[in-house]
Amino acid sequence: MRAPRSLRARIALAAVGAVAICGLLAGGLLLAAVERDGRNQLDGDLRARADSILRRPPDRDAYGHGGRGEMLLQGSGTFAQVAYGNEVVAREGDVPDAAPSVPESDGFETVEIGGTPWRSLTFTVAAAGNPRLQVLSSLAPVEERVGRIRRLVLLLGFSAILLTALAAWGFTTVAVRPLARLRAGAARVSGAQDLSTPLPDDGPEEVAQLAGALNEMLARLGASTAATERALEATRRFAADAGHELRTPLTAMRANLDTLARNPGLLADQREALVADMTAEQDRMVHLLEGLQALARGEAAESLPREPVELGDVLDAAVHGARKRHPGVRYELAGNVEEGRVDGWEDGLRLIADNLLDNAALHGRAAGGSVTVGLARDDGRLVMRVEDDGPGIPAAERERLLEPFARGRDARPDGTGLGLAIVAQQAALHGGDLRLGDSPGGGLAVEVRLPASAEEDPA
Amino acid sequence: MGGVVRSEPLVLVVDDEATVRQALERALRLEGFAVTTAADGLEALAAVAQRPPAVIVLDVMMPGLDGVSVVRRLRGDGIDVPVCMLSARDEVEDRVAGLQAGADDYLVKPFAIAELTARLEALLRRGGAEGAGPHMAGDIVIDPRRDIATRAGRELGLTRREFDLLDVFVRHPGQVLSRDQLLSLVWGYTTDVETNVVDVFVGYVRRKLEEAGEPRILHTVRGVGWALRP
Repeated sequence: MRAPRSLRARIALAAVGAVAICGLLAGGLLLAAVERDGRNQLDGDLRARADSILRRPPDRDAYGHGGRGEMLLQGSGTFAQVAYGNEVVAREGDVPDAAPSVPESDGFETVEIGGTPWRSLTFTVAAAGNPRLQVLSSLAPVEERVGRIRRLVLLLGFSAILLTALAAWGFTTVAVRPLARLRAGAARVSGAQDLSTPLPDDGPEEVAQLAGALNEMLARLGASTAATERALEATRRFAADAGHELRTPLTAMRANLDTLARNPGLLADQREALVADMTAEQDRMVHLLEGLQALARGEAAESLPREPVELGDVLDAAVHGARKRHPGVRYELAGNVEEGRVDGWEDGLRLIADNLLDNAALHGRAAGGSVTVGLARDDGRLVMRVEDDGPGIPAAERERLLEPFARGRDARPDGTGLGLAIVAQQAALHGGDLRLGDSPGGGLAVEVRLPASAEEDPA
Repeated sequence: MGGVVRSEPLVLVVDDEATVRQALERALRLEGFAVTTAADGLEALAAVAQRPPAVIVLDVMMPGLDGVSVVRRLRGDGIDVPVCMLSARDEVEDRVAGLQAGADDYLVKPFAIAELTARLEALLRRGGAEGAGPHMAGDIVIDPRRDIATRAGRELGLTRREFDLLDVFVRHPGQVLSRDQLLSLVWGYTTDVETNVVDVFVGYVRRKLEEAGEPRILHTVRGVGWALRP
């Protein structure tokens, strides 16, 4: 049999079952005890009767009709009989029609006479001829009493079961009401697709705990949904921005190409200017592509193994490269370049240095700018600092510049808008951060603070 | 390029990207236009005030005052100079907003210079009002002299280009007009121009014609074009 689906029905059924089993056990024990008591009492009576019979010596005359035995036994549902050998010589009392012969063995037993049970006590009298006396008493009164009690027990039992069923049903109806409220709340949540409305957490402790757990789950779901949406939104914006950034050089290139194609008679210097512009546009697209790939690699770098990298060496190599790329800019290493290692990816650290140095060249003083590069130690961190002597960036605009494709008001056309985003990404991947500030010369100072490797002992 | 140019018509190129401005300026000069440039919306408005151009090439997405706002200001000030917007393919909403604000056409970046010059020449060819007095078809009344179009007495509030489009339909009631015919009649384009600007503007005009729950009067004829059936 399958359990019913309703919780109410299950609880009611369980309660009824428990009450039924208890009633059955208790009733059975009670009836057995009552029957045993009745029988024991009957056995005592039988013995007392036998004793009173035996107070007079057993003799044939004494058991004649109208004698003492008759007086003693008449109307008590009891009879006695005496036998010598197999011959029953006397039979007195409420003798049933089909009286049995006196049994061979002594002691108590229960016999069936004419379909009704009788209790019998047989013993051998210590007298001449060894007469055997059997006293019998009907078990009917005991049976009747047991029957009465059995009926009572059954009646009580069924009433108890009925009451239990009603009480359990009523009680569970009340008890599951908070569950129904919880269900209605959950339906509202899924219906409105609204993860922010909590479920009602009143009601009994168990339901309140369930509601609490569900609310916690909803909150977590809501948070992760929001995070996913933010990430999706960021990706969408990034794709749109990247598209816009590519579209601009493509538009200019196409215009220049068409100009070349449609004007075969262009002067040499006009033609050269067009080609130079197109080369610059192509450069810009290549830079943009490299920046995009650097960002994509940065995302993937998290899974690469880290190794201790000497940051001073990285900076040294980067300055060397930057001097070649930007011959018009003077790069100076500040006096005290710290020795210090960072646990990380050398390529990523090089990206930080390269982008900071390029940024300083692009956005520093337009001609003959000077860039100061330093590496210092501060409270277990290595601080890479790059300062330019350009116009600087207003404090209000700095935060925005960390976003991909965000470019300053007077952005140079050869900037990709990705430099600081790449630096910020790599700094974060290395457990560090990026700060924009003012340089002593009024230009921009960029600081990248990276946690120093734990292996080395601070000098 | 074709067309006899009396004096060089002045084109105002508005784009926040210096490279695009420079490339377009050079290309359009070589195509026989006079060119001024502006780097953002405010500069563009100032340039229009200083020396009204014959046509404006306007980038939609610019920091500060964007292209849509520029069109809105110009039309709000009653300046009717034709505007061709430049937009990225995914800037649909800005483009729609620009056309509804009164821009005449758009090009998706990057584009061919031939495409741009074809549009500019067509926009420059756009004539003034043809007929003199008001004319009507069904419950639509067009008054070119007052630039007012009504349906059952309700002022439709059309932009210049929408007005011209409805004007053509009202002049040819019941007649099926194709995309190419409309491009030529309303925009002055030759057939080699690839654009869905007609579909876009028919949609705008139709929406304004049915704004008060009126029945459809400008019907689509599948595979051919559209017809005004009063």
